[in-house]
Amino acid sequence: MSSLRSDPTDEELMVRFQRGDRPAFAVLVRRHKTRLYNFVLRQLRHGPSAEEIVQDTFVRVVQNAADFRHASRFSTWLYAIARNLCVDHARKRALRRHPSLDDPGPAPNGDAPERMDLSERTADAGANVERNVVSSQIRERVLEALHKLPDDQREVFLMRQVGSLSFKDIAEIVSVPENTVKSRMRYALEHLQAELSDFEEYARALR
Amino acid sequence: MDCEKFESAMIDELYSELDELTSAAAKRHLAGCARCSARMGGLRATQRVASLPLVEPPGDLEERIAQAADKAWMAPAPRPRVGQAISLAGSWAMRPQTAMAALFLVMIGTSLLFLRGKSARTPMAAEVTVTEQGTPAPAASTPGARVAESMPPMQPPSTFSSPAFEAKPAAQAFAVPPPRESPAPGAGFAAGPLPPMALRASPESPASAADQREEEVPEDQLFDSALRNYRAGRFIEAARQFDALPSSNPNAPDLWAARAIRDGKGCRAAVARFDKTALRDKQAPSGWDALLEGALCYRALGDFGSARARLNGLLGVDSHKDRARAELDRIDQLQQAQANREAAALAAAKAARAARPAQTPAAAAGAPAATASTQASQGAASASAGERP
Repeated sequence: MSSLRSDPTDEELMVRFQRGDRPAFAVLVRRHKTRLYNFVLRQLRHGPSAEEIVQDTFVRVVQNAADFRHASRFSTWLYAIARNLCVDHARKRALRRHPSLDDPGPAPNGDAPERMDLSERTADAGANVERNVVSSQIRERVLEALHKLPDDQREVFLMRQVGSLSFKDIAEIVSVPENTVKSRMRYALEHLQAELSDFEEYARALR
Repeated sequence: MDCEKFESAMIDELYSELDELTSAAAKRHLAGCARCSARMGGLRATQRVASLPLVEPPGDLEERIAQAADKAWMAPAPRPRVGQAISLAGSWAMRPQTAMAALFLVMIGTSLLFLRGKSARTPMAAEVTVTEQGTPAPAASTPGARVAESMPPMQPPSTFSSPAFEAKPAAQAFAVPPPRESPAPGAGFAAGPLPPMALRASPESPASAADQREEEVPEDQLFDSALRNYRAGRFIEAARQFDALPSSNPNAPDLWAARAIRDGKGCRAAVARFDKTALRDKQAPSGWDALLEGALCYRALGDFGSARARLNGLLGVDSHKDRARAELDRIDQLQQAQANREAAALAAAKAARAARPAQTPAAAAGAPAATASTQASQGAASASAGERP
């Protein structure tokens, strides 16, 4: 099927993949891996675990490619899988009760929570130093504030902000009405606002 | 728009999900309401601050994903994982479709391994040579097979390297000379079941000319001819003709070719062809028939696992589910009977051993008897496992 568009949609790539076009899958990975990684990382706060979940998510895409019904968007399906893996991971972690991972303080072991890893490459790398320092501080506060959110608010926030999913798609993934999703989003923003209120002015000045 | 209405539209407006009219009304309200305006401003600022730049994952993550995906592609999805995937994918997975999907992934994996480097058609062609020595009983009794035995051996390995599925070098792959008029005149051709070909085929006609003529034969006639051969028991010839038809032919020639191979050479040779047809004709009656008949062949070969997998996949297909259910029950019976026989054999062996210490001569007689009965039981088990559907 020839298309005037130069870039195939996710759904077109999935159709190709279902018919055996394996390079189509690689394109989907390249397209989605960064946002998906961030979506998971912001919840787990642990880089290696986030990498593992992203990998598992794509493996499940391969294993269940025939299941994908084209009425849904690919990204909705992808994030649904990732979200469930995150829930499973959190459940297992709670059972193991690893104080080093749950403790917001510095981690004694090598698996430092991601917020301690200031060497992460961000889009701000290369900007002026002060901006970087402030950005790091803001970043720490935001991550802290995110961590304090209830799970159901945090996941909605991240699906929207990081995954760019519509509220309708988010509703499909978490199986609640769309209005509930929007309420959770509003609560999330209000909670974050309370946590970040002293940074607001400065943040506005920076933009 | 009042404050209450704006409250419910606030998030939508923030994320630009409002339609033009409502968005305009919201903006108008904001312009005139300090309270809502302040609220909106706070949320907007928070959204900006909280939109952290994206972190790049490690550079090798993509490669690791590719490797894991390759493994997943080739490996059959084990049952527990399929169950997990169902819960993971939530409403996207439906049980019968999932069973079928998992089955197809298995078949894709195994068929790719099986057919690598060979044309799907050439196993049949290659085996034509082999069966010159040992044609299966039914085919051997037909004139067509006798004529096949008189043909010179097969050849070109170059044809074998063409990729499996889409290769249609039908006439070329089978550079098999046409059935020559054997000393038994009119042997398989007396009845004239091959209208244009039989009339034109002569002992002197070269292979390529006859192949060309076969290509010129309209598909309908070729199919009819193949079907007649099949019904007459000339399975090898029928398979050759079915294979000469394009897969797109609406009469499902691939399925018929698989049947002809099954009846001419047995289930072991046919299962790969049934699987191939099932994969190619997914969501079509010929594909479901191929799944069913492939399952029966696997069962006949004693591979109950593969048989079950295919029959389970059919439980979600309206037209085939009753038959699939019945055949699954039959497998249950077979396995139960097998288990009973093995238990009986064990019991007999135990009894024989228990009787041994009493008298030595009886023991000597008892042991061979026990062995014999065990062997007989095993023979019976394998015989029933090997039964043809």
